[in-house]
Amino acid sequence: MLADYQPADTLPHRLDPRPKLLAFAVGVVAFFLFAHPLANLVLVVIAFGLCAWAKVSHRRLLPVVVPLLPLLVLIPVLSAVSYGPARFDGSAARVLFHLVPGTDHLPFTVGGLLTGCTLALRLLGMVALTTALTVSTPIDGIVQLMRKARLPYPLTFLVVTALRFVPTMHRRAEQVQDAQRARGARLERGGMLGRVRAFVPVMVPLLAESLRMADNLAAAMLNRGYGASRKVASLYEIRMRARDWVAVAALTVVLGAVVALRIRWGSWGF
Amino acid sequence: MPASRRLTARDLALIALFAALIAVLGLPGSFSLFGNAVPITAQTMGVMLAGSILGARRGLLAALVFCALALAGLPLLAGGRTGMAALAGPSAGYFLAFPLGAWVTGWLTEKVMPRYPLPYGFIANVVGGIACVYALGIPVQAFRTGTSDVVATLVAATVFLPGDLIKAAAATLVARGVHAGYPTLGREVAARRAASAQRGTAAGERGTPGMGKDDA
Repeated sequence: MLADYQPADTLPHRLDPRPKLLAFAVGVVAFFLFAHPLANLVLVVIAFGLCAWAKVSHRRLLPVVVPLLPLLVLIPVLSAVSYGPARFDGSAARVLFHLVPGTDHLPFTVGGLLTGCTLALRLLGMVALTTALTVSTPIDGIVQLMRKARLPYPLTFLVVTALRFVPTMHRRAEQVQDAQRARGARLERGGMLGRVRAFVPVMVPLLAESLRMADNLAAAMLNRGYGASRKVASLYEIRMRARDWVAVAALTVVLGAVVALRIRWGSWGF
Repeated sequence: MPASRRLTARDLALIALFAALIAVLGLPGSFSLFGNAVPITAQTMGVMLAGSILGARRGLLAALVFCALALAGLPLLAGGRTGMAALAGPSAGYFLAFPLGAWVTGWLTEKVMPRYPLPYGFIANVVGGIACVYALGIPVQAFRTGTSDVVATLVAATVFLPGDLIKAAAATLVARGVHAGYPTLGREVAARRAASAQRGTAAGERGTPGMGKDDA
């Protein structure tokens, strides 16, 4: 679900987290400025281009994209039948067929199909953008980013640690399930109640183990002097270099161009 | 417990842990009942567990951190949605009720800690994790879907009630198991309550010594 940092020597990796966040914001704005699926398709291609630039391996990208595939098909279909033809004008209002044959129920409209394609492409594009950002930014970069934004350190710690715990707990849950199966537990058997009964012997060890992990983390923090002083220092400081300023300038130009396109041609709606 | 107390390193670790737990419970097996706009997840169970294991304050903070992560754009909610998408949709109220639910569950549970009697724990989970979440979620859902028909919305929402009751029962059993296997947490909460009620007298019996007690 969440691809984590993958070290590589690419420009997206070397950039300061701040211009990268700006790039992410520009991408999000661009996706929501245009309503036509073609415009969004171009943006999706660019977003995956960024993933390729950051050398995101297929091993990271596939587990993120594959679970989305059913949604990417479902969204256009549902949207095509849920918007009535009255919402569109011109060729977009054309009804291709009715989902219930021989009646007027659930018209399959061109406009609804196009809107659905836009929504699905936006989802795919946002996921690709997030992946490009998280794969090229180490956890420490996020810590530094929140630090530069002058957020209180406990909040930074909570957000970053929770993020780090998500994949850890996911893996632990699988380990506990395997361990219980090895003891003869049949976790998939039984209906709804059976599932719940199987839930308890998985969750209790998982939580007990995780609580111990939290205790160890707290002890490690205390050993390193957490709370000894109000100010938290860090080993590395992020600094804006020349290439970061160039990136900011370039992104500003891109943002301007996108907004200008939008004003010149409209949202490409239909 | 006084709200002004600073968070210890242990509090931070536990809050982060349960924020992650709420996220993990939302990841697999999120399935949508056809015809209703709100997808089912085990996520509310994470909210109940945060309250009934960590207590009111830390449970609330864990749910808030989870909401912050989702709002920051991570696809952690049911069906891989982000917080912003949820706020725009009909289930916005349910999402926003998570912190309240965790706090109420924790507040009720703290009353009996360090013991954790099953019937009482179940009631705390139902009141906090179901009643509070529904109380915010159903009106918002009715408003968003544009139904002025209150009865229809209530009927649509009660589709989830049996599943939620089962989840509350499971959360109670899990919390009981965790408190039995890890009694420090319950004792800690009870000691803090006693300390805030009668300052200074309960300092000696605060959980495991030397573990996150840097501000004692």
